[in-house]
Amino acid sequence: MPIAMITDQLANLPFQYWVLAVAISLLMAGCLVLIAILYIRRLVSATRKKKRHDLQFRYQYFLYDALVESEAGKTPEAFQEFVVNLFREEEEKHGLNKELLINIILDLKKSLSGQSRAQLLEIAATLKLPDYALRKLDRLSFNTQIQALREISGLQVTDSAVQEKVKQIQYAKHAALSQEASLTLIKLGESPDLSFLDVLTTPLSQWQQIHLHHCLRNFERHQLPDFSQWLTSTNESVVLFSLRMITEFEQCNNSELIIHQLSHKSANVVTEAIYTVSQLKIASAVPTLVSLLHQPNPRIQISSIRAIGRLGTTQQVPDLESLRIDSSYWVRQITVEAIARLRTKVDSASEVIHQS
Amino acid sequence: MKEIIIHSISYIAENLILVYAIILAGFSFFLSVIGLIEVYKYLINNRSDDRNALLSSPFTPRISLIVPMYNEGETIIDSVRSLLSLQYNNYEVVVVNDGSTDESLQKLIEYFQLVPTYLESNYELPTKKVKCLYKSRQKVFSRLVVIDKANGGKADALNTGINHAQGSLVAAMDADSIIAPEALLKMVKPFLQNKGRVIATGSIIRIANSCTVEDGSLVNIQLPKGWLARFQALEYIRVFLLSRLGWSRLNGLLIISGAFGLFDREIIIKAGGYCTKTVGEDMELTIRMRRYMHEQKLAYKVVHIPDPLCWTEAPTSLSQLSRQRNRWARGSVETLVKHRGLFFNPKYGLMGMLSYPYWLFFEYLAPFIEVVGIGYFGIKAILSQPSWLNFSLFLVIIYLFSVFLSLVALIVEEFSYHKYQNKSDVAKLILTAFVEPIVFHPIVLVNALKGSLDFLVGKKSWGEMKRKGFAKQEPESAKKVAS
Repeated sequence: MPIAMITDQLANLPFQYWVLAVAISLLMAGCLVLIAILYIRRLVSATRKKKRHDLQFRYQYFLYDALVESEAGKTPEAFQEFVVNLFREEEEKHGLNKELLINIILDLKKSLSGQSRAQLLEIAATLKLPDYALRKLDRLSFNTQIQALREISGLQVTDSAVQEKVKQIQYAKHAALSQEASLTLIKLGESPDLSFLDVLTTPLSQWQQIHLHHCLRNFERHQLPDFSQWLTSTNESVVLFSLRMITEFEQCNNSELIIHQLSHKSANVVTEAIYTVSQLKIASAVPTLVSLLHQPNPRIQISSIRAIGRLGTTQQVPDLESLRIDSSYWVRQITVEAIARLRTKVDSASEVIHQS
Repeated sequence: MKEIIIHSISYIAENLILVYAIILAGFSFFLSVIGLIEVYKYLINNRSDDRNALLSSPFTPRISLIVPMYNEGETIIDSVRSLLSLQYNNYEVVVVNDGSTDESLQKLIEYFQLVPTYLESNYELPTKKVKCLYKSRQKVFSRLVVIDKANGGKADALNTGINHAQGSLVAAMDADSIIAPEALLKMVKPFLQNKGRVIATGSIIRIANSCTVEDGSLVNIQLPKGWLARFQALEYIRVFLLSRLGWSRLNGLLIISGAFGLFDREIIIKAGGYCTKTVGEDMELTIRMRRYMHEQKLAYKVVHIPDPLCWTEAPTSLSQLSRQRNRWARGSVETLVKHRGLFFNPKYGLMGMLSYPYWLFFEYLAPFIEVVGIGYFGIKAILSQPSWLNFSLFLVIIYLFSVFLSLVALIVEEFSYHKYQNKSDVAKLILTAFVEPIVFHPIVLVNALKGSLDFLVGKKSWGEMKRKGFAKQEPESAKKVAS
């Protein structure tokens, strides 16, 4: 068939066919592009993974090799110089992947203590790894900034200028970033700096509270602030967090203020305060707990029954008896358990008297 | 005159089908783009998560993992053992024996040294009679609670579990689902952040056929070897990574899969628990919880996370697949009929104005429209000169578009979780994407139609699903003996 005839026929094709043909071509091209991306991605990620793996092995080898040297009787200074020289040589020849090196050092740091740990941090400082982490703080990506904050706290960069910079980030709009900045400040301080709780107007999420607590656990109890100072905060989440920390770190020096929280307007605070008095065994809270037994809020009611079971005496059994026929299944269950617990206390006490 | 009428009908029908196809394709594309954004944001926001804090925290909410069990004697011990070793420090596993006729319960009693506890039963959500509650004598199994009850179906078993759950959050799952060890840590996160009240979270479900399972945990991930399971693997990747995430971003999600979902217990109870009169209880519950929140004028969210945290066995025979798809279709139509008051009802916000109509027109009615379209062309071919070129081009576009969407989903998977790491897996998945619309789609279509017809005749049964079981890793000693 002559070409002229085909072009003639094509030229006479209605517009709708052209639209369909264009759509098909675009879709086919799209599919081909996606397939190409899939294959290229596989190839690139495999190569990158292998390269990273090799490099990681190489850096680890440098560090462990140096550790062996140090065990062979070298002085700490000589050991340090040896390692630093290895890495400098590497930097000159192939360049240094500082991010990877920081990761390896921070990983190794977890299993070291005392002088070895201090030496490791010294090596990081000599190789200017903290400067690298600091530079990352200025990046736009919040993930990179979070990573930088972790590196700064891991490498123990206690410089006041750095702390000032971190303090500014503490008030960043991004919740994860501001949380990480708060954690970094806590980790870097000799005693945890929780002054941000004084001025916090937004709710402290449970997620943030869990991370703050995880960080505070690493301190000695005497280094921790008195959390009852935040029990009068107008921010409900701060009061909740303080009550949780009071329970966790057993700070019962201000029991009056803790009991006062049992009449807080927020049901969440009351429930948490009940748990606190129960865990800290503040027996003087029992009369207030009894007054909460007929609260319409089931969480408050159940928590107070449980707390009375822990703190009360047989004197409270009559108060609990009426709840054995409550309409709520859980109220009935917890009441039965609480009464049994109170009676067991009496039995074991009389057994002790009998034996003596 | 007759010709004009025929011509007008033909013109309207053709254009209606065309408009329908364009809207469906456009919306699918829109959802895919939104889904992509959601995956990207999730990965960015969670890249720097420190889960160690959550692992050991005493402040995490208590989660009750409810496992309905019916004749699962073959796998239940491994499943429960695996569930007892999840990475979360504040949870309980509530196994509800829904009147099994095999030795499932006895096996549990013996293996976990269970003893009856003489507590009264809770019927806050009405359920069939609870016979006994068991707890283990061993401290190491103190997280485990087993409830023995009269047979009442999956929904009834889940309601029994919810009644006896001590957690403020309840996770509903299938007894044969394999949950990733970090699943609870990841699923609970949306509940802990201050971003509005979250009432439910779901995760990506993946196909576990051909994967190796040891002690109820996944130890080696493989792309399914059989074509049927592989089609479903691709379908799950596409649906969960693009469509469900897109809806999650719009806060218009109507379903949290029954295979694994985490719910706010208080809201489930207030909404009335699982409905025992439908085979689509997962979708029905999600809609009812959402309705409850709207009716109470409470702000809320239903979140879907793109992490593949649950693995399930897909049907490997046509008859099993047919039964499953038939059930899904019946479940959808039952739920849509039950909640018809949502249809374009502004009182229910996006759910009433977009999610429900979309589900009705483009999920439920799509198979009907497809059949009508094909039927229409058939009639036209018999009655007059058919426009084969038009028809073929139209079919090619639809085919290429569905391949394109599958490839987009594969790209997202490759850049995010990259679970299938064998070199040949990419080629296999691409090939599956090209074959699926021709081979698998018609099967799904026929069964969706059959399900809708079964609904009309009032069929209610679940249909038996025989599991083939997962590949198990052979112990070293056994290998030696064999060699």
